[in-house]
Amino acid sequence: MNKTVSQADLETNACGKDKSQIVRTGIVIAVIAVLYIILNIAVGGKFFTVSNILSVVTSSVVNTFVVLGFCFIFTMGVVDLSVGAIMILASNIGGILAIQFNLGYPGLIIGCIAVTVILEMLNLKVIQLSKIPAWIFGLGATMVYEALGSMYNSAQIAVGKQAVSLQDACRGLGVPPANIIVLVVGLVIAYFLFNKTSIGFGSRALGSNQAVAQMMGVNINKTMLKAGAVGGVFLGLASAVNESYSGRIVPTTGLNSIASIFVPLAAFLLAVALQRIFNLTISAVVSSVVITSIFNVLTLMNVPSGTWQKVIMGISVLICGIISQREEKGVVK
Amino acid sequence: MSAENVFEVRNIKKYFGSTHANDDVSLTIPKGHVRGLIGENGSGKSTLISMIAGIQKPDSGEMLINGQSYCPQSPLDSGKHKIGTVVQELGLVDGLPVGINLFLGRAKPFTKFGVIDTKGIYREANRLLKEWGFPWLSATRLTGTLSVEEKKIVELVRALSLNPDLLILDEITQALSLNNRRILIDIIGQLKKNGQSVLLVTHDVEEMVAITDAITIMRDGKIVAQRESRETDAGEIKKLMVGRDMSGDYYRKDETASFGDEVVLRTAGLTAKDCFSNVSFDLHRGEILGVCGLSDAGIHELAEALFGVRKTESGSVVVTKSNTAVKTPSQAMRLKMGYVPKDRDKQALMVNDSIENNVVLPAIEQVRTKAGIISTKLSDQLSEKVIEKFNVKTKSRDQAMRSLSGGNRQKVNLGRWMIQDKDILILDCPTRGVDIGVKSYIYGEMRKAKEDGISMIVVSDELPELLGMCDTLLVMKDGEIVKAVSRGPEFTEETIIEVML
Amino acid sequence: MKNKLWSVVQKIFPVLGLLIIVIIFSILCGDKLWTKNNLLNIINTMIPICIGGAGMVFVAAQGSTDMSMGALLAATATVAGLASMKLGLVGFIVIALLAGLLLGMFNGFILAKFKVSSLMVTLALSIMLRAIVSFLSNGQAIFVNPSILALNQPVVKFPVFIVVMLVMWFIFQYTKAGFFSRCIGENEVVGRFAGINVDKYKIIAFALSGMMGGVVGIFNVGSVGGVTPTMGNFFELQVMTAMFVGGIPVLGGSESKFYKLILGALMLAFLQNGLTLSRVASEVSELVQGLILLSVVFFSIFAKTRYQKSELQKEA
Repeated sequence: MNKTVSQADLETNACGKDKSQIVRTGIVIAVIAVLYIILNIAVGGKFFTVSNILSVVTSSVVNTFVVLGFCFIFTMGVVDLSVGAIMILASNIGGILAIQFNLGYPGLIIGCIAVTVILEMLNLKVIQLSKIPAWIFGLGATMVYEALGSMYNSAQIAVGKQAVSLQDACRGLGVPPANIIVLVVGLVIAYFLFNKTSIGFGSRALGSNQAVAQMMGVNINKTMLKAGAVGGVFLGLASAVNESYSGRIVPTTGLNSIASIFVPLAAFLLAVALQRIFNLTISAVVSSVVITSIFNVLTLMNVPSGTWQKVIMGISVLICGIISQREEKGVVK
Repeated sequence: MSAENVFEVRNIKKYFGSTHANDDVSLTIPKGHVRGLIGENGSGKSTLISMIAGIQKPDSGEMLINGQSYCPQSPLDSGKHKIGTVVQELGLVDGLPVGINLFLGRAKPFTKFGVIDTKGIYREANRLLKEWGFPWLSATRLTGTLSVEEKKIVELVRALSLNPDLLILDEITQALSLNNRRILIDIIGQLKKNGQSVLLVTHDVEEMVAITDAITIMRDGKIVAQRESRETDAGEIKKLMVGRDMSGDYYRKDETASFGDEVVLRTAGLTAKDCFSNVSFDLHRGEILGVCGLSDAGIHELAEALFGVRKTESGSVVVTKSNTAVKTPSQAMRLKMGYVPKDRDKQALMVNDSIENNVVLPAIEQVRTKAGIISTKLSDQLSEKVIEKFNVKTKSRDQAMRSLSGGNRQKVNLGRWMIQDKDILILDCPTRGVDIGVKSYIYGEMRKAKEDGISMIVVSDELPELLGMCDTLLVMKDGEIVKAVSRGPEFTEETIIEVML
Repeated sequence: MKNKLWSVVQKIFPVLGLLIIVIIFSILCGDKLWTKNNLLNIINTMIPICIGGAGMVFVAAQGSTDMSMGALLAATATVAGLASMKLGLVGFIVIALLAGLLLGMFNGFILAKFKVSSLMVTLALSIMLRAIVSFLSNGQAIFVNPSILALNQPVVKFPVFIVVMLVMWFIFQYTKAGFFSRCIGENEVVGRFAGINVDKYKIIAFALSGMMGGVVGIFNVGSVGGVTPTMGNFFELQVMTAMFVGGIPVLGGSESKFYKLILGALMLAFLQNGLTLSRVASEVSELVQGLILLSVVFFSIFAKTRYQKSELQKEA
C-alpha cells in the first residue's frame, strides 16, 4: 500500500504549495496596501484625493503601455534599449499625421503604432540576421533613431519652427476618461495575447529556454517577429497617449532617450519579480502604478524632479533588478 | 516480414572528431516488443537514441519505421513519425505551465483563428495525466516549480500523448519513486498489449531484465550482444556490459594497496543538498582514491565540492598539512590542490584561446616573478614543457585549443596541473572521450605522480579504470558512501557493481 | 584558402579601417586635415578616449560593459572641482581618483554579488550620477581652482598620458588582473573551476574602469578650466565604439588587446575630426557613428564565425 501513501504525500505537497501561494499573494497585497498608507501619510493625506488619484492614473498610462510592450519583447530575452528613441520618433510622426495631414486621432494612433511596429520588427530581424548582442544593437539603433529625430527637429528649427505640436487638437487621448478606457482595453488585449495565443507562449518559451523551445517545434524567427509586432503595438499606443498628453515630444540626443524608459524598466523588473504571484500582464500594471505612485508622492513632497527623483529612479532600477535576479544562478555579464 | 518490425536501424555510423560514437550499429524492434538497451557511460547508447529522436544526424546508415525510410530533422519530426522520446537532452520550458508544455509546438488542434483554447489544453492535459495514472499532477502548475520527478512524468506523458508506435525512455526510472515506477511498468505493459513498442535505457539491470523482452548490449560504440530476457540474468548482462578487453598492460600491475600513513586530506560529514550527504573519508599521501557510482549517485558533485566550487551545507574538507578547511577554489589552489573537472570543453578549457593561455590559467603562480608580474618567458617555457612532456600534437603553443583533437586537449588539460607542484589532484573522468593510446599515457603519468607522493582522488564513470588504478575505491549510491573497498581480492567488477546498483 | 582569407581579414581589419578613413577624409578635407593644429586636435580627441578605454578594456575583456563612465567622470570632476577650491591641485586629483575608484567598485559589487547585468547597473548609476551632478552644480558651470589649468600644458599633459597608458598596458598584459579578465571573458565557468576568484576580479575591473573615468575627468577639467553639467555626455559610447572598431571583441576574451584600443581611438578621432571639418551636422554625425558601431560589430562577429567555422572544417 506504499503507492497510496506516497501519492497522498505528493497531493498534500501540491496543496501545501497552493496554500503558500495564497499566503505569498496575501503578503504582497498587504505590502502594497501598507506602502500606499505610508505614502498617504507621508504627504499628509494628499495622496488619496480624487484629483491626485486621477493624475497618478494618467501618468501611469504611458508607463503601463511601455511595460506591456516589454512583456512581449524583453520576455524573449531581447533587451532592446532603442525603444525610447523609437517612441520619440513615433510620437512626432503621429503628431505630423494628426496635425499637418489633418488626420486627427486616427492619424495619431495609426501613425504611432505603424512606426513602433515597423521599427521594432526591423530591430528584431536585424538582431536575428546579424547575431549582434541585443544590448549593443539597442545602443547603436538608439543613436540612429535619435539622429533621425533630431535631424527633423533641427530642420524645423532652421525654418523657425519647432518639433510638431498638437496645440489643442487630439489632446483627449492623454486625459481621463479616454486614457483610462484605452488602458483597460489595452490591458485586456495584452492579457489575452499573452495568455491565449501562441505569441505569448512562444515569447515565454524563447526567454525561458530557447534550445528546448526550438526542439519542441517553436519557430524562433517567426515567434520573435510576431511578439515584436505585438510589443510594438503597445509601444505605439504609449507614444500616442504620450503625444496627446504632452502635446509635443522634443527629440533627444546623446542617448537621453534611454533615460526616458527607465521608470518603465524598473516597473518591468518589478513585474518580473512578482510574476510568480500575478500573471505578468497584471503585475505589469500593478508595478507601473506602484512605481508611478512613488514618484507622484515624491513630487507632492517637493522632491525636485530633475535631481533627487532621478537618483531614486536609478536606485529603484537597481533594487528591482536585484529582486528579479534573486534566483539567478547562471553567468551574468 | 518487415511489416512486423516497427523500427529498424541499419549500419548506423557516427563520429565525433576522431571518436567512433556509433560504429556500424544495427537494431530491429518488432511490433509490441519491449527492448532494453544497456551499456556503460560512453558506450554509444545515448548517441544512438539521440539520432533516433532527431537531435543528432547519423554520418551514414539508415533508419526505417514501419518499413518506410526515416530520417528525422528534429525531435518534432520524430514525433510526427510516431516516435515518442523521453531523453536527457530534451526537457521542458520552465517558464510555461505543465499543460502548455505538453502541447508546445503542436497546439494546432486547440487553435481557432489564432486563439489558443487554453482551457481546452488544460482539460486535455489533465485528462491525459489522469489517464496515464498521475491524476494528482495539475496541468496549470508552472513547470519551473516542479520537482525533477514531476518533470520527468510530464515528459513521459508528453511522449505518450503522441500515441507512439515506438516509445524511447532514456534513464527515466532512476528519477521516479517506487510507486511511480510501478505505474510506468503498467504503462509499458499496456503499450505492449496495443502492439506499440518500447526502447528502454536504464542502469538498473535487474529491473531491465524483469521488464523487457530482450536486451541489447553496447560497448565502445558497437552492439556486442543481444539476449532474450527470459533466458538471461543480471549477472550475465553485467559481464557483457563491462567485459572489455583487459589484456592491455596500461593499468597498475600490483594487486595490493600502497600509500603513506600520513593523511593529507580529511573530509568529514560533507553534505550538499540534493547531491550527497554525510560523506567522510581520509586521503593519504601517495594514495589513488577512486569514487564510483551511478549517474545520480552524486560523485561529480562531490568532486566539485572538494575543490570548493560547489557550496556545501555542512561538513568540512580539511587539508591536514596546514589544518585549513577548503571553502573556495582559490583557497584550494593555495593549499596545493588541483582539479580537472568532468566537462573538458565547458568547465576546464577556454576552447577559443591558445594552448599557452590555457596552460597558464591554473598555473599562473608558476609564471609570476617575485614582483607579481606575469613573465612571458616563463609562460612560454611552461607551455612548451607541457607540450613536450605530454606529447601534445600541435604546430605551436599559440594554436587555438579548439583546433586540437579531443585526446590532445585532454593532455593539455591534465598536463597543466601535473606539471605543477601540487599535493592533491582531483581528477573527474580523466580519460573521458580519449582513445586507448592517450588513456594508457594518462595512466602512466598518474603512476608517476603517485610515486612522487602526490595523492589523487579519481572520480570516474568507467569502473575498469578505477579498478585498474586505485588503492581505495569508494562506492556511492544515492548520495552516500555505501562501501569502501581496498585494493585486494575484493577488487573485482562483480563485487563493486553488486554494491553500486 | 578561404580559411586563410578570413583569418587575415580578421587581423588587418582595424588597420585597414583606419587607412580607409584617413584616405577618405584626406580627399574630402584636403590639406585641412594635415595642418599641425588639426593633428593636435586629433590627438586631443584621442587622449581621453584612450585613457577611458585603458580602464574600460578590463570590463570589456570580461564581456561586460560600463555605461556609467561619462556620468562618472562628470560626477568625480564636479565633486573634486568643488573641493579643489579649498584643497588645491593635489586634493583635486586625489578626490577625483578616489571617487572614481569607489563608484567603479560599486558597479562591480552589484554585478558580482547580486547578478544584475552590468548594462543595467551602470545605466542606473549613470542616471543617478547625472542627477547628482545637476544638483551639485545647479545646472551651471562650476569654476575650479585655477592651479588645475597647469595640467593642460603639453609638457605635463603628454608625459602623464604616456605614463598612464604604459602603466595600464602593463597591468592589462602582465598581471593577474588583466589575464584573469580575459579568461573570464573567454569562459567564466572555466575560470571559476580553475580557481579564479571571479567576483574579486569583476570588482577590480570595474574599479579600474571607474578610476580611469576619474583620470579622464581630471584631464577634461584641465583643458576646460571648469566643470559643465554636460561634461562626458556620450563619452562611454565613444570609448566603446573605439574599442569595438579597433577589434576588441564585443564578448571579450583573449582577443582583447591594448593596441586595438589605441588603433580604434585613432580611427574614431580621425572620423570625428573629419566629420567636423566636412561641416557635417552633429545629428548626422551621431547617425554615422551609430551606423559605424553597428556595422563594425556585425562585421567582426561575421568574420570571427567564418574563421572559426573554416578552422573546424579543416579539422574534420
